[in-house]
Amino acid sequence: MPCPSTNRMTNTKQGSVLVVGGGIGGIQAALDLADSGFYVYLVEDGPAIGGRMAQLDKTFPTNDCAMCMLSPKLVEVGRHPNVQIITLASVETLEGGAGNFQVKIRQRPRYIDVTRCIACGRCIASCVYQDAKFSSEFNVGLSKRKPVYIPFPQAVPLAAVIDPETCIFFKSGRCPQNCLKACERQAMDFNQKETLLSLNVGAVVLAPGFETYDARLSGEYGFGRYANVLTGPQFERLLSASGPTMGKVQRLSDGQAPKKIAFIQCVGSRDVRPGVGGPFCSAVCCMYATKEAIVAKEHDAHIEPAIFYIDLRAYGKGFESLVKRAKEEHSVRYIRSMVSQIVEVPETKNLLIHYRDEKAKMCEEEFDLVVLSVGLRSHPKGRELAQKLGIELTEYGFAKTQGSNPVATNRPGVFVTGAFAGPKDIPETVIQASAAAAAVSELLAEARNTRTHAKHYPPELSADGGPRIGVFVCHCGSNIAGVVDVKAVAEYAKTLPGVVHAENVLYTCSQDNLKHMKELVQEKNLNRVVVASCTPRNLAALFQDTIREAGLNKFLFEMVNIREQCSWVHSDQPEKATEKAKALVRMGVAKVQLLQPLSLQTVTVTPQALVLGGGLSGMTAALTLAGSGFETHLVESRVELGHDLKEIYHTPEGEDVQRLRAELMDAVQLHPKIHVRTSATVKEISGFVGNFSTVIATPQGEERVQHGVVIVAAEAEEYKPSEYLYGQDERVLTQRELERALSPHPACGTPTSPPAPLRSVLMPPLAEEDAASKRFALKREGSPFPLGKGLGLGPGVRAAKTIVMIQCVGRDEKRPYCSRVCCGEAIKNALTLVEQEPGRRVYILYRDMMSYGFLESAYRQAREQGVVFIRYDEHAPPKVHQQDDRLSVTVNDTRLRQEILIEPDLLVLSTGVIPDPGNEELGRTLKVPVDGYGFFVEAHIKLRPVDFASHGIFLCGASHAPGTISELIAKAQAAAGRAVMILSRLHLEAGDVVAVVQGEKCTACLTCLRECPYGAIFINPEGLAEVEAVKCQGCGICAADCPAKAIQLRQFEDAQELSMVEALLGTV
Amino acid sequence: METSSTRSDGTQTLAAQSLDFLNEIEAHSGEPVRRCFQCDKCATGCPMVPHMQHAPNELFRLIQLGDPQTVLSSNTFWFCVSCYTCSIRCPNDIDIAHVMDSLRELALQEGFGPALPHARDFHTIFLDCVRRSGRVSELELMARYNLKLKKPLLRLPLGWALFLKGRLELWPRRTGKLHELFQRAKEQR
Amino acid sequence: MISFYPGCTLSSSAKPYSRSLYWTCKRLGIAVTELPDWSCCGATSAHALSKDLAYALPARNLAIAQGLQSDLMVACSACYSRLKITQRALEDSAIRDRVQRIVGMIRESPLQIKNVLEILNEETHLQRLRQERTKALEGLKVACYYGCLVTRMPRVLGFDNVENPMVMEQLASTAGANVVNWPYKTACCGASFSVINETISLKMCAQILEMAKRCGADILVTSCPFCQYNLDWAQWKLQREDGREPAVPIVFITQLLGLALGGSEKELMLGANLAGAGKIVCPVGARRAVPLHQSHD
Repeated sequence: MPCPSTNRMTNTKQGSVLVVGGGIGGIQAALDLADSGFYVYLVEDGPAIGGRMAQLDKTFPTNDCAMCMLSPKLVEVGRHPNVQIITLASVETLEGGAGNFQVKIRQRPRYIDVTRCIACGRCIASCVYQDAKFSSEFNVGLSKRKPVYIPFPQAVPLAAVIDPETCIFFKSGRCPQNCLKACERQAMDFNQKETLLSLNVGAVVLAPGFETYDARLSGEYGFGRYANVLTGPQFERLLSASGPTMGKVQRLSDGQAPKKIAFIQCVGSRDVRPGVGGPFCSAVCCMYATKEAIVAKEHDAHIEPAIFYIDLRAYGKGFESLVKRAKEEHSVRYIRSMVSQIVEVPETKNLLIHYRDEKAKMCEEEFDLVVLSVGLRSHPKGRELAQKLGIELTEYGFAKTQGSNPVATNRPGVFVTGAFAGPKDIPETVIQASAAAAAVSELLAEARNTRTHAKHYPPELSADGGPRIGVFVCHCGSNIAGVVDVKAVAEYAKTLPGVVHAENVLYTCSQDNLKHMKELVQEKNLNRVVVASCTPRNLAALFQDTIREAGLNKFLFEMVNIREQCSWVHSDQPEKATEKAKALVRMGVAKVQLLQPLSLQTVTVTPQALVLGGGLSGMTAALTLAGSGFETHLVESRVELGHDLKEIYHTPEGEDVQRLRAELMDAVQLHPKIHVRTSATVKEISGFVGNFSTVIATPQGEERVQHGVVIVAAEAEEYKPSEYLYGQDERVLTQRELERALSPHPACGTPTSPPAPLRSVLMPPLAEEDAASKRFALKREGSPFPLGKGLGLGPGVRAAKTIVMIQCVGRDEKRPYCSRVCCGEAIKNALTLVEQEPGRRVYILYRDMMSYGFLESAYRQAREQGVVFIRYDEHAPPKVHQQDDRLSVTVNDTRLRQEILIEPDLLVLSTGVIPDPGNEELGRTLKVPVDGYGFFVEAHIKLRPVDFASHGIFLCGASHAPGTISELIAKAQAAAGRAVMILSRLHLEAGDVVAVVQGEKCTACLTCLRECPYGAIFINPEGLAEVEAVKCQGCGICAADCPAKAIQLRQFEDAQELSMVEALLGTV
Repeated sequence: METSSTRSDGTQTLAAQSLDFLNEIEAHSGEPVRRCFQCDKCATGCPMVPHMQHAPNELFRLIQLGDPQTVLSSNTFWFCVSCYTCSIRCPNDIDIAHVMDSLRELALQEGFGPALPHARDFHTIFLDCVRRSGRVSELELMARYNLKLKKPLLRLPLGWALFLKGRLELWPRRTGKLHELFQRAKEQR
Repeated sequence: MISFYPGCTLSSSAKPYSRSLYWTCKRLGIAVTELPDWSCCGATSAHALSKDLAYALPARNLAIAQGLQSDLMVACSACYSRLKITQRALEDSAIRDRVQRIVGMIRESPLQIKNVLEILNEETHLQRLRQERTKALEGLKVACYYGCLVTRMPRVLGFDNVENPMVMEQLASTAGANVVNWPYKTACCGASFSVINETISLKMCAQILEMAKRCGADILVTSCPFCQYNLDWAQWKLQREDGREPAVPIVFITQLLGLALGGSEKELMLGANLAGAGKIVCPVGARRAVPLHQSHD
């Protein structure tokens, strides 16, 4: 662990980090960093954080509500003591180097004091603009806003903002400024000026995001001309309950509910025309269209969606099954034919589309609505930022990174995450965010905890001597008081049993009142508090913290929502609203009486990590952990490390994988903090987050290690096929075998040339020559694709003139998922083949080319090199015959609808990857889930992609999901970073709102044991169920399911809940 | 070996051949036919596709597979009206209509009978008018075209109507003959 | 002064175009002189049969124009397209050399090839049109029809949006007419198929005319001789065959502008249409003028 005192003397590394961009990537990075002991400045260009994810209705592939997932994170980052959010701000300059940067931030005026504004909306109502007339950014132009507005209901910071571009006062200076008078909190401040902030940070994480393609540039689709042609992001808002139509899907021309909806893919993507599109694939559109089609149908069963596409890129975890559901359960039509133009029917404003069906028949079909699946582009502001900071960009204007170091930029100490480094979906963004945080915490390891401030509380007062309850009833300006008679509610509260004080407060949440609340607790020695105001979501934690500062246990608090649940929903019935408010307060008071102080049990953390799996991911994770200063035990079941990289020689980007492997292996073996055990297995594992104890079996015998976290880094293997004469004819190889044969240096465990030792890995990098950006940066010289001129080529391969590659071999009902990497490998090897010998004919037989993102360029390059790509239907796969000594392949070309005969000298099978067979057992040992195909299941596919549900256990590697080398590296760094969040703490607090078993009632029926998703319940020596408090997440499943009612969930005990019901209905 | 064979079930099997034909077409047209990824946009936007044996992208696939026979005897490029819709919308930026011009020229060179003899005749007569008079007189053009079709009276009412409206030029102004230019063009072949 | 390349059709089937063009230009103060010794650009047959001729024939005219050191105004969409495409192609040295050997006189000097629409749309001329228009066209509902060639030139920068050109709408509306928003403004009329294969061409024309009618157009305005001829001929034909009411007369943009500037029927050859000649100046006045931006909301 870093020792603060020595830090300051020995170096100048700063324990603070600048995160640029308040989207999901920036938010995740900020939270990870703040929770690993760094102070974070989160700079956002707009008036609120949330980014694109806040505008989404649902997210694929699970179709969870986007805001429901994001909103808690918004609140968390908004309240985090070690995160400072700076909105309406942009970075001007960045001086200094890794470890110690000087940053200048320009912050534009908001004209509203965020600390005073309570988002009551009076300024908006009073604005001289009677009705909103300016296009709403949040609703992508589908609704209007006023010059003063609240970005969106869940915005953080939740405050209004004035747009000087449209505000009359700023435009003409002549405005009555009604808003100024209307504001009850004196929050309006038209004198605010632009300010320049200077910050001192140790590292920078850039997450400025992307912009969507301007569909007007694709004139053939008439966006902007035809009322019923929308973009994907617009349709997303149309689907959203918080959207312009409250989630009602309707046409813009006439408000009618559309029946037939067409989605057109690749609008602005995979298009090389100058000035029209981007040549790359935007990587998310196929899935967002699929999602939107399903969600639309869920909104209105009459809707008939049709998706027009080129290749269906369902390459991610769970994507394939979502598409299957779309086809089978929601009868979404997928039509593989690009639409050339849209014609608006003048009378109906319907849209006429021509396409060809699978029989190539020309069809004309009328749709009520068309959604253009616009692609992702680099954001002009992102490019400007890069230019200011000296960050290298790719030809398409995205941040340039190395495949072997996916989150590092060319500038040491500056890292990237999300779509700024190329189009990607939310999980990939979150993974990169955690990876960037990990890279930072490695760089700034010894500055950890030097800039964060922990809060100190007074000793807890006793809550005994009967309840002395204080009730605070909030006006919330006119928000509540405008409808509910808050005085009457407060007076009523005084009459309730146990209440010794009740009062009205203008704004309960205001700083002055919080102070007042503390004083009251002390002078009237209150031991319970009830606040009747707004939703607990935003403020409960604030009030709990306040009474804790006053010396009360924070669980002696209850919050009652009389705004949303009374004044807002019953604004037309003041009396009834007041009665309801009284009833709610009555219930709150009844419950708070029975609340007991809950004590957090603190657990000291063993600052060591256990990494299971010594492949690319395991080694990367171990190096990241050790680099961050933690002892790491690396366990590999095979005799040597890096088994999974053995037969890969270069990445599609042209990086030398064998060299990468060798350097990783050396770095791992040489690292003083990494303890490698090969031919080793986990015999048993016990304990919980912070304190695991594991027995490792090695040939030398068994040993027990203590550690605070576990990282599961199991890799996957290439499937060895039984199909297509594999194993019977030596001219039939797998893609990996071909790559081996093509490789310039023969496959072996150790590299041809011993690599230079990597100081960057052995010790934290220095500012001047931070290796973070150079680490394993092994870009090939010249051609991105190696020309292994005859070196080590198998004779068969060397002689081959005609080569056929078959994709998706063995991808059937049992293994329907896309392995994500095979198309890239096929393209890569095809290019090597034709570059070695231009005369060669290479045919790739595929189902859908999964060249997502920038891999599309390699796909185009392959076609330009004469590689012929022939699509076959998954139900009519190619046939391979062995006539005398000739191999012959017949494939039905779906476009020509004709059988093609090819007589190859070499047949290469892309067989995909299968998870490690050991996963099942490992899953059982660790009590972590494995899916039907043998892949590990993360806590949340979208926002917790590298965590297991059980605390303290993380996952990465291809056994989580197949991925490219650079994707796997990012995932491994991310898992390590998440683990560091735990290891970097001296102790954990846990066990407040947890389940407890009343032993005498327990019949040891084991129901709870089976139900608990966290493995928190065990049978104690007395043979009774017991809850491991540290593991318990307080979900309450066991309490609900216990047939003997022997389990109670603290804070939600039967007596407490029933007391509320009784308070409401009288004794039941 | 022959490029296609009929299987027992009557469907044709096409044997993939070398890339020579592809290279020839690309050399003549200067267009990257190989870049096509079969998105179908040219087909769905083409006003003439209902009359074509092969949609442009199907023709491109046949070119990639090296089947000159089928390609050059196809009617596709004879029905191409050069509206350039495919060319400006092709996401791979291939000037498809221009490739059709090349195919037309190569097909005639290789002695493939045109799918639309009228089209060939019309264009040939048109160019001959240009060669002889430098400019085209619609009257002369139509007259010679009718003779070629052996229907001298074809479109007589139309001609008359145009004449009455003053839209038929009887004595066209001629510019310098372009015999030499045409001659040199011929020698270039 | 600007050199003018009329192209072959303007002296016969598109005579009204040339008449109204000269009249309107004179009226707007645009000095036009015909390109001396110009020859046919080869459209549409040259590029159909011979790559060399496809470039050589336009190149010959480009060479003459370059010699005059003046911009070249082109009226016919086909000629415009061939001349522009050739100019672009000649940037390729290989093609250049081939053409050089055929035409024998290519100059390096740059040349501005401008379409009639492009020139008429220059602000000075719009100004003058606005000030000097004498005849009220209010209520005359005009559908602007561009056809294929005037905007669709692969890898050649044109003067207007490829998929949704607006120049003619701008002109027609400045002349005082109401423009209708319709989806077929760049649809194909079938070009030479009206000669080679009448049935196909008739079908394509009929669709365009039908749509114009559905969108409530009184007349169609174009700047392409082929389009004008095909659509006019198609209506004439359909009329003769099944006595169908002529849909909408199709006139040249210069005829419409001339009309607004007070040109007589004779000066502009307004009666020269095969179909619906009588209806060109339709009952006017009742309807209100709609400004361009509103008609395109």
